[in-house]
Amino acid sequence: MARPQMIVQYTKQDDQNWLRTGSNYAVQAIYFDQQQGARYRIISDDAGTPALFPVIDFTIVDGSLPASWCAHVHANGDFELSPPAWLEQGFWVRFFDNDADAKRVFELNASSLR
Amino acid sequence: MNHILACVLTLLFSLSGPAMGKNSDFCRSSIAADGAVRAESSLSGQLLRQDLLRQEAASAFTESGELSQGALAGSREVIPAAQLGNPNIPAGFSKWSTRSFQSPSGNFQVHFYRNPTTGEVFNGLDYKVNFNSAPAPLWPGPK
Repeated sequence: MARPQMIVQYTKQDDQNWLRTGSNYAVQAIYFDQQQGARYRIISDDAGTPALFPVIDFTIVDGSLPASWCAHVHANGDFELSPPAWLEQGFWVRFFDNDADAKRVFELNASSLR
Repeated sequence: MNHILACVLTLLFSLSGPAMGKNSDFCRSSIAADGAVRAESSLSGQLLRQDLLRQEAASAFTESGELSQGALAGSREVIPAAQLGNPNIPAGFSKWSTRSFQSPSGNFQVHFYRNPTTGEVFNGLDYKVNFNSAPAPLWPGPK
């Protein structure tokens, strides 16, 4: 039986080539903050960069949440749902600094479309 | 410069001809000229491509080295402020990435800090170009 996986379809016109209109994407994590609301972390078509995109720009194709995700509340009240390995302090900083171990941890926990 | 290359190639081929008959000379000259035109065309194409890549790379920046308005407009947040945990970064600033730009050395993104509420950019730390893959070496090294 397939593992639960959240899948969304991008509905916005994007002239910067981050995502393709009408394409489906696996949601890698969800991030909420007061200023920008809820955003999905999605592996973009631009160099495979996992960036944050407003949820309003998508429709949900499959709303199943992966059982492995954990919830985390930051000191400032921001809230996220994510694979636990990505919630470690400094993980994303190391990832975007091209740390090989962080890249490996990311690949291990990233979900791709079934 | 391309014309000089074409002339040199033609001259090289014509100088090697006297040992052969007149018809061979004609053939070799003709082949040389054809080759020279192809070489010139290929070189022009490469120069044009390099120039276009340089223009695209330059479009990411202003003359003073800051990000251009176009680069900023196409940027995405990649690390929210709460996930940074670096006291040297002003409060409220998060990490952003431009879209990929092409350059003669390979495609790159620029990473920078920006306040998503005010739009202010902070270039005081970690303002850097990040190549999508390692640039090709200028010299392939010993075989």
